[in-house]
Amino acid sequence: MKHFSIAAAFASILAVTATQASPAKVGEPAPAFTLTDSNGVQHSLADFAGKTVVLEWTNHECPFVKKHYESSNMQAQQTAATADGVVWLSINSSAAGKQGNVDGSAANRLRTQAKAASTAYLLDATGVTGRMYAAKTTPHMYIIDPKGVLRYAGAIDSIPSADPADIPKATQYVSTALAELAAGKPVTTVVTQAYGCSVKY
Amino acid sequence: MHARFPTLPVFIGLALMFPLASLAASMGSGPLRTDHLTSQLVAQSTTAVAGQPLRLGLRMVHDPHWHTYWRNPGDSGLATRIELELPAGVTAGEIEWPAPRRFDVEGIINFGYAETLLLPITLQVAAGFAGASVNITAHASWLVCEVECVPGRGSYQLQVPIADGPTDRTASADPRWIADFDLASKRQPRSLEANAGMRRVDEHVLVDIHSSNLPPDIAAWEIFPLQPQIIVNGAYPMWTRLEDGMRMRLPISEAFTSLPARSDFLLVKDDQALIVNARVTPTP
Repeated sequence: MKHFSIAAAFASILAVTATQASPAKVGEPAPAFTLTDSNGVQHSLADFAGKTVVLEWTNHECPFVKKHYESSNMQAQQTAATADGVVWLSINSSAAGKQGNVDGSAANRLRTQAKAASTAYLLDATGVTGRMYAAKTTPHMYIIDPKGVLRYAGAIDSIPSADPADIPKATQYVSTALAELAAGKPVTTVVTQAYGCSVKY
Repeated sequence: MHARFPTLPVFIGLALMFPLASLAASMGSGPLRTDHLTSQLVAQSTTAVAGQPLRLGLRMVHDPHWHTYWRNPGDSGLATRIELELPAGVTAGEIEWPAPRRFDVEGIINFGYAETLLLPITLQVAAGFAGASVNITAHASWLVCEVECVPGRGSYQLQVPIADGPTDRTASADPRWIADFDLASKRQPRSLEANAGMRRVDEHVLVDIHSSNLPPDIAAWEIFPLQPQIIVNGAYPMWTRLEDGMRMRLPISEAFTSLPARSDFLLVKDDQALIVNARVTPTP
């Protein structure tokens, strides 16, 4: 599996990979990554062993990201999760010159403005980590359990739309799965079709 | 970014200026300009006939390089939605999605439409329909993208007068929209007469198409899954010959969970589109 992951990641870099199966798979160990955050600090997935980790692909200019930030849905989930000891990593895979690409200080301004409560904002302008997780949309959400196993991949909620009015009617997959994991239960909905803007690789 | 709705007073004003009884053709709200798209609700014919179908269409004129989405938008995006408000005695079918195109942005694969495209919907007007015209209100929403995306929405009105007597449908075709309805019809998928079975084998879905009706160049056709989370969007099938048909081998979707009992795969070449409806077969 490891060799396959590496091979697939390189294939991604060569941009020939649209048809490759994803190396990140629910039920299997989440692919390792190391990224620098908006404050210049490096984080590896392995640093968070023993904790539940949420990965949130983001691009603040995307209407679907705005839907979940302007309604405060995303920040409320970040606040609740981190209060329970969950590590929440926002990841930006927008390439240099593409929509949503930011440097560390711009990312920090966005976090302050949005009152974001994520643990860190990681910069992935090469897109290597995004490709490894087959992150297709913003938002695209992943949950990794304390043993490092991927437990959820997909949409933030059940209603694919850009309309914030749909949020109260939707099932929030991430908070539901986090509650199940915290209660020691299996996650009911493990994979869903993510919806949103394309990641700007 | 924000949609502009046609204002009701203008609409009422027009209706007063042109009393319905004297209408020679359908009329309604004109082209609606929103971000990167001009859209309008149109009817195929100038009049409606009680007891007969009436074809409508949402005509979408995309700015160059911009696109909207098919029923399965692919890796990202959103399918266009249309909701209709209809008078009593008139019912509507689903959107008759023409065959889409593929859009590949840095390996993110989407299915949708560019340039000028009409999404048809067929209404059925009851035989006893008594009104002087069929008055329709439609609300549509979509996502329009080039690389970046903008959500859009619009509301439209259309009044199609009821024909006084029996009408020759060809003669009553509205000349303004003939080309658009023709293209949408030409790109309607046909069901392939076939017995097709699918099963998962490791990281692939095998679809065995038992049919003598497959075009000989089928391996050159593009595939579009109607349902998400089954095969990788934008996959190129590996084709092998069977005794009585062909087998497609397709990589499973990154978001695969399980095979549904039935699934549809659209095969497209130029303006031709065939739907293969496959049922799950037990793994041998």
